[in-house]
Amino acid sequence: MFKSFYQKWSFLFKLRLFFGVLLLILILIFLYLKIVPFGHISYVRSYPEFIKSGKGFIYGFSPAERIDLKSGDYPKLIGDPVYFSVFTPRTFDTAKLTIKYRSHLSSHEPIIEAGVLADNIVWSYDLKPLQNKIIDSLKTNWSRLENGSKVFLQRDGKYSSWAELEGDLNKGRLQNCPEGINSCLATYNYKVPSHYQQPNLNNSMPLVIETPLRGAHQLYIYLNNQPFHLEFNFINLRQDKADDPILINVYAVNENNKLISSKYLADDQKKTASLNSDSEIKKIIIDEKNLSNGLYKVEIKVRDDTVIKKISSSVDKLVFINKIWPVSADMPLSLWTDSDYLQAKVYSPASRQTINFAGKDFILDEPYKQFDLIVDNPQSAKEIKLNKDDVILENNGVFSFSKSSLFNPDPHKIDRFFKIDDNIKYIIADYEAPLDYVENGFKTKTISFNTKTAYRENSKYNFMISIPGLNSSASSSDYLEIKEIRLDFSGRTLWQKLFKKNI
Amino acid sequence: MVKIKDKNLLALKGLLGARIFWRELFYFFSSLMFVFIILEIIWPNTVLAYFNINYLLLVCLINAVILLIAFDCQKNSVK
Repeated sequence: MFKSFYQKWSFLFKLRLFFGVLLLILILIFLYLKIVPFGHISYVRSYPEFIKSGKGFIYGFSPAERIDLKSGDYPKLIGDPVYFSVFTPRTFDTAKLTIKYRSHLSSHEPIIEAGVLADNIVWSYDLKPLQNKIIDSLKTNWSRLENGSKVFLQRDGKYSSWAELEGDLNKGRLQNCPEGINSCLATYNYKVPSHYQQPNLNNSMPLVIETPLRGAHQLYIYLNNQPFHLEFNFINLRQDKADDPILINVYAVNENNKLISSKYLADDQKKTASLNSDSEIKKIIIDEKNLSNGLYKVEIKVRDDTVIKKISSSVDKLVFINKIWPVSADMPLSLWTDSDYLQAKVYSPASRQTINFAGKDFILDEPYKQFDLIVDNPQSAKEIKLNKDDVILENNGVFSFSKSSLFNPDPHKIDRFFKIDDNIKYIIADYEAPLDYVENGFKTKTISFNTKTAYRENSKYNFMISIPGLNSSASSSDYLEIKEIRLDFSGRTLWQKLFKKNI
Repeated sequence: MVKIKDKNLLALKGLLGARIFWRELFYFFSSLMFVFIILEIIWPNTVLAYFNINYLLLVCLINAVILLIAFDCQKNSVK
């Protein structure tokens, strides 16, 4: 019956029907690729690229001076860090990043990490390890326990099971560690439950820091029989037109980082005069009564256009975590740190200077360049003397404005400056070594990210590949070749979205 | 007696030689181009991520040239 009906159609009608159906199929295909109704999709970019039919989803690496695209078939990363972005037609909850790479790195660059941009205010990336040669080499020499992706390395084999280890960690102790776990434990990509107690503590005195600090900072505060009272004065430099909101979060570290307080101040976009003007100062006060003694972490999330003009604290045990950026301060300025190294970056040409770190002079003669200042000083507190301000100081330890305030509640962290000494008896990490790929020295590693909370702008997620220590200077011949980047995204299905079901 | 294979070849040759086919093909490419541009305006990068619309424009232009030159010459030669 259909055949007789079909035979009555004219040739023109059949041709138009054919093209019409083909057009509809193509539209449905592109709509399917846009909506991703089943919630899973993968994007791949392989090198070398011969023919590209479209723009693709994974955009090229930047900045250009850290990439070598011309010599060789594969792009070479010659500087740190390197960024790339991924366009997605919709939002997803998780992303699995798989990178196939070949390393031509020396012992100065033992760590390779990758991450997704998690916070656009403080511009922080959620970094996960791709490769850590320090842990890889220790795995062959030290006794180890594994639990999924978590690995525990021990010099003397004191622990025979993960449960036994976890029991001790939850109590804030380790065997054969009489001075506390911070003295004998090193961590990598792992947060040990904190039971930090400050030893030999006198009653705290109030502390006022009048040295202006620029941009985001994090603090540890140790409360000892004092009320929790913090006052922050902020001023906005208005060097760009972007909004500059202020967010301060307070966490109780000894209670699994429980959020105690959160204060938010939106940007009212008023013009401000100068750093010394009092007319446009914004104030945030955090007053929490009945908090128990112990360790608290304060996150000050602001953009670099905002300056913390003054900090008033009810306690003097206050340290800055990993980074401090003094600006417009009375010079000379003296700071203290517990770390053996300092990464210093001069932010403006006027701030070039000779800096004294642990009694040793270092010349910072180039702006915007990161200098690594390393000392071999057994003292726990090392002084930093600055003649000029506007220098960003970073390390894996803490900073304070006085020696008496200095304390570090965290165990040693494994980074490229990490040195094994006799005190370190245990290492705990959330890390799996990359797999060797079949071809020519390439390795492959897959890491997962939570993209639900990741920052997404113009339909793009921003990623970073970090190789600490790799610099693109002419004297360095180290690089990392990238063969393939693959991203597997997962998210809600169309039905879950329509009926508003959560995964 | 014409074999079946030759019959299909003749039909295909006839089809490709038919002005009507090239005209409908031109309408198809133009409609496709229009749809792709609308999709790109509403949802940027929906098409361009996979396919460069410039190639479709090129094919559309070649089709138009064939339609204008080949069949116009044919029409003139018939006259």
